[in-house]
This record gives sequence, C-alpha cells and structure tokens, in this order.
Amino acid sequence: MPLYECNEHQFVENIRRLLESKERFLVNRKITLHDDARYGPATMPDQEFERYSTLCTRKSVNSTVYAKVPFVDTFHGSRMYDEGENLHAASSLLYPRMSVPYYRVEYSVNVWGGTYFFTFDALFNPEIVIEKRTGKRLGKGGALVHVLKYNPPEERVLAINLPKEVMVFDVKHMVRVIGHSSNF
Amino acid sequence: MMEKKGSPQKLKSISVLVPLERVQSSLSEIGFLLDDTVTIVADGKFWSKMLYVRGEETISVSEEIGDAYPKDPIITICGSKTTISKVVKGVGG
Repeated sequence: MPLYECNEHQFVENIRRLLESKERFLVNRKITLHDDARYGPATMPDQEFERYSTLCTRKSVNSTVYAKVPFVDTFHGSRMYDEGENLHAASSLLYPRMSVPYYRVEYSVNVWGGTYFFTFDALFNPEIVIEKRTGKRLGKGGALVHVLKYNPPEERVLAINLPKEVMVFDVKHMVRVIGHSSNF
Repeated sequence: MMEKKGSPQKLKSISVLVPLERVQSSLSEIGFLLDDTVTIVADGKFWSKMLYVRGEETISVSEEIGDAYPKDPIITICGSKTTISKVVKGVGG
C-alpha cells in the first residue's frame, strides 16, 4: 500500500477534494510525546529563542547557547544548570544538552488503497518562574532559583481545522499491511 | 458578521504571498480573534501556527519563522588532490 507524504496545504486541499467528491473516508490522527533531544536552543529561530532569553543567551542562530542564570528544568527530573553552562554547543548541534519536548502529530487518510499523511512536531511551551527550591546545590534552607517548566500545547491548536462531518479517529499506531497475512 | 449557526462548513487551504500583519488585520476585520499559538516544525522549518476563532469557525495561519535543522551543504569537488585537501581543511574536515 503506497504512502504519500503531504504538507499541510496539500493535505487539507486533498481532504477538500474528497469532501467535494462525496467520497466516504476517515481521517486518522496519532499524537505522541517525544523527548529525544531533537530540538535545542541553538537551532531555534530568534522568535522561539526569545521565550528562553531569561535563562540563556547566544549570539545568533546555530551559535553556542550558555545559561545566563542558574535554573532548574522540571521536565527532565529537575536537572540543574549552572550559570555559564554550555546548553547547546555550536560544534554539536544535533546533541543539545538542554532540549525541548514535543508532540509529534500525524494525520492520515486512506483512499483507494493509498495512505496520504501529514506530520508535524509541536513544541511544548516554556514557562519560566522563580521558586524557592532545596537541594544539594541550593542548601538545606533552600534558595530562590529560576525554574523552567514545559507546558504541552492545547489540543485545539494541534488540530487541523476540518468540517464537522469529517470523522477523525485517534489511533495509537498504524500497521501497514502487505497482502493478506504479513505486516511490518 | 457571524455566519448563521448550522450553515455547512467548507474547507480551503491557501498559500499567500502577503505579510502576516495584512492577514491578521483582514481576519480581525471579519471578527476572527486569536485564540492560541503554537510553534511547530514541519517540512524542515519552524512555523508559528496561530489559531483564530469566530463562533464555530476556525482559521489557522502558519508563518514560517526559520529553518529547523542546520543546513549541511553538500560539496562535490572535481579537482586536484591539493584542492580537495584545501577545501576539506577549510571546512573543518
């Protein structure tokens, strides 16, 4: 069964054509959480990096990112970063030390034996607060420290806008079947 | 200016070559309000995806904000051994 990758524009327009043809179809959606260090602060465009500017600094896109202040990353087991620590090295852009979790969203539609899909990653939103924390490096009495939290994006903004008559099924996994008996 | 409740919803995706500000003011004029924003990565690029809502109608506007991955240029050299060495050394290889 062939798989065809679409961008958002193509995917939506294909669904529009299907709707106009009165063809019956079903849209599947799969949303999975990933935290595999795919997105780090050095490779973010300026607009996104600005949201982290309280915590870190860089000269430009793809330059090394350093911590401006000590901070705690609650998403990654309350990992503590020190002031001046290298968070994402320009010489190692594929392996950031500080990374952003994301949802991978996959939309697909099966028509006439083919699967047409559109995939995108939605980054979690950073929230930076100052909290009193205790720990080895913060002392028993605790100290005020910057805390980085990641909030997942709302489902409504992850969704592709589709008319109500289009049924969207949420799925966990898609198994591609070859013939009648084998799968991979 | 809101559509009658229950009127059938249609679908359309368009790609435009006008500044975001113009799109936003156009949506604002017809009563769509910004509801939420998310940063997404698709097609190897970062996009700021904005969701506008007016009643039961929704419009999403995606603006490209940068490349997602460091671009690795592919260099194909047809030249002497010295040239190859110089180029390789020059790019940190």
